Amino acid sequence: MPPSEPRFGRYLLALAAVAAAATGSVAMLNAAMDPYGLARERWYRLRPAAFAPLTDETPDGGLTDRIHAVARSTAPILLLGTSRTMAGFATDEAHMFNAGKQAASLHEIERIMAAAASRPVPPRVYLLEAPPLRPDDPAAERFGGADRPPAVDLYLSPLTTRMSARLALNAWRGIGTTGRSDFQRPAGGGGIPAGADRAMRGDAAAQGAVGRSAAFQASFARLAALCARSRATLVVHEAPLSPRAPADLADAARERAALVGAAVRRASEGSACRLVYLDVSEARTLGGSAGDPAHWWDHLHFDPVVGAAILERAQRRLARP
Amino acid sequence: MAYHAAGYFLGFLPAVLLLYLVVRRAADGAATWFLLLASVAYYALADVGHLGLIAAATTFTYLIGRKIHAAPRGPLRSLLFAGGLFGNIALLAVWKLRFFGLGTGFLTTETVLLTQGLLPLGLSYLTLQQIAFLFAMEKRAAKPLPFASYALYVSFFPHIMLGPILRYEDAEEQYATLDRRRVGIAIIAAGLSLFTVGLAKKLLVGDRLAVIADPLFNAAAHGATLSAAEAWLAAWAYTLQLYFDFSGYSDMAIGGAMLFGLRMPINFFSPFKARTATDVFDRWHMSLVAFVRAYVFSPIFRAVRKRAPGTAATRATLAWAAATILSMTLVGWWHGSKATLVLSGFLIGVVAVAFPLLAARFRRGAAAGSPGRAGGIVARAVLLLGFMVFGIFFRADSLAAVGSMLASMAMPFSGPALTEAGASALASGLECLILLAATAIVFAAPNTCELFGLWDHPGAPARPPAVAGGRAFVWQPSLPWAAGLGVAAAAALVFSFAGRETASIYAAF
Repeated sequence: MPPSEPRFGRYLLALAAVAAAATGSVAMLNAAMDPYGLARERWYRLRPAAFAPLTDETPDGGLTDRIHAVARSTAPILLLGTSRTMAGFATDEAHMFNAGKQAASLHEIERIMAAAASRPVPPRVYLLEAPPLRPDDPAAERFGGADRPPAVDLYLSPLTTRMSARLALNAWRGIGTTGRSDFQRPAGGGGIPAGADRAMRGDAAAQGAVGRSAAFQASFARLAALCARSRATLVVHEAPLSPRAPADLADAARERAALVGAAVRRASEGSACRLVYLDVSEARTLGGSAGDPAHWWDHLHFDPVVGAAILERAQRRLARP
Repeated sequence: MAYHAAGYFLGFLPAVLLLYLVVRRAADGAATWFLLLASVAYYALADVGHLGLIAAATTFTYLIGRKIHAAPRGPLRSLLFAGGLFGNIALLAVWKLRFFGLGTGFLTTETVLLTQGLLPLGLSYLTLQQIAFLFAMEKRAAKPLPFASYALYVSFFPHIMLGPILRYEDAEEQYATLDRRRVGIAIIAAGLSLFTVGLAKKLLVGDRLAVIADPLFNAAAHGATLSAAEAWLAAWAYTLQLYFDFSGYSDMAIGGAMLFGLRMPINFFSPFKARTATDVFDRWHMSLVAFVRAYVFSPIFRAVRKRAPGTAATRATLAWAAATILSMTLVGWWHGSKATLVLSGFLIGVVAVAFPLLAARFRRGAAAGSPGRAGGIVARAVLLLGFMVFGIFFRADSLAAVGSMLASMAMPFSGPALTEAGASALASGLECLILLAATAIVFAAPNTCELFGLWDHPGAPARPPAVAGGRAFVWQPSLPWAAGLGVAAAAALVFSFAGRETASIYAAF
């Protein structure tokens, strides 16, 4: 016997009710967890909570979060770079601020540095780890570099929902907020991006093309100009590789170091910024236990013992005229 | 405004449906005009720049079609018919060549979005329907509809973007009686449910599989050498992505049309369950295959059979082989003028010819009877391989990338086990689970024609006899179905805000 018309009507009502309830549940979870702090902050930024892996899963990869944190900071030394910086330096927030960002591009580093340079009291020293030279800009894939994704993406997107669920789970497990964003703490082994060394090898020809491009030179010129605003010092370094790094990775690093060193020299000509290129690409030359494999998460990422050696080397270099 | 955009399924479609129901009650004979206005509004919202072109092409074809129908058999009628065909084919060819000649970027979602605005929305499908109309007029297989009904036939918004292609003979009665037809709540419930299934297929399966396929194909396009496992994974993920994307769109179109009481042709019927190459063509993009069979294959077949040498059987075989290969090559070209697409069409034609010929030879050589279970498994494995190779041609940008992928697939123990692209493709557990589920669905689950009992739709196979005592898994207006589809609709809504716009793969054609 075919179903009656009222039965179809009830079916449609039930379907609409379930769809509305499920959508409403997602919206309520996102509103309650509010992972972007929309209810509390004027600007889009990640809630300062203890959920390390999520900071970099925001639509902009945690860029805006860092920009706002850097703008509020008063630390005279600012560390800029990729996950290698993020994981490798234990900093005291009052004196040294670690704004390393996973897979940061030069363009993103510029934006973080611009926020710092605009502070009433800008940093005195910027320590910049040169990012990989890639023909593609990973930042371009993240909402076109917009500070704030479209509103509906923030309220109902799968990414927001996943972050809200993780926040709720953390709250249920009793992992509370720390009052500071996670990127200011060394990420440790769990926060190291898998496969980064493959990205770092890159293609030698493409890397050379990027390193010699006008856009790359212009980026360094802009960084120098930001630094010059407050007559600060910009120390650029090619971060070291693990002593066990394979030869092709070491070759790519040497090539990159030469290109970055040349770009720094060109940018320093006539600049009011004190630009220094620091060659720390060989871990063995750092001395101490920096060459000990125990201090390396993988071929690229080191722990704060190695970071401290780099800082010491930078300090000695800056002591020279 | 794509069918899977929230603006369409939460805004435009329900608004038009509600107004349609009101207009039907308020004014007799207004249904056709209202739907035509809604279709014009949809087109204007999606692609206002080409509205005039579409209106001109529709009017031209309608007028010439009426003339063809009225003219006595003779040179004038043939001339009008040829002129109508030429006008439509030339319009499509000009736009397609312009569209595809712009660049050689590979077919990523971004490329599709970038170029989508350049090809008039729905021109490919509209042109095929207009050609079907001209053939119907020339053969006097159907009567010309009033202009409003005809314009609605070619521009009906639920299927203008991606078909299915409705032959004029199948449309005439439906559109002629549209104003008088009753649209009950049962058909609305079924249409809405089918639309939701299509939405879920597109957003929750097809788009998710792109997360696996895209990095691997992009790596190959940039010259990376994938491992064998990665190349097979990419080929299978893309094959499934293509199927769920396009069959999902077709379900949305069929379901959307059902809301207004119209029956669109079935476009997919479990193609991965096919057992022969011919069977594949009866199950994949069926409305296009039916069009090609009627208006391309048959004329070529008749022409070659008349002129080919040899016995009657030889002539028939030659004509069939030539018509199949030429038709498939044309289908490849219709998808785009890229060498990979034309070549893939040609290769499909060659496989479609070689497969039955080899099977016939094998049967003659072996003992009489069916090929047996082992033979059936081998045949299905070969067909699946064909699907994947076709997918690689369809997806890859260049012949070099195709060669690289095929070489990786052919050498299982060469290269690294996992490249960076592979690690990226496998990074999400959710997408890997979806790949497994999608694999199970295509081999084991009933299709939407079976689920919703669409046996009276054009192009549907004959309804299978009911199994005595068996209880088929079919859609019904029950609470479990409402709950399941309600959750699927909510999940699809959330994933429609994934932050990355997702055009349909077929929107490029």
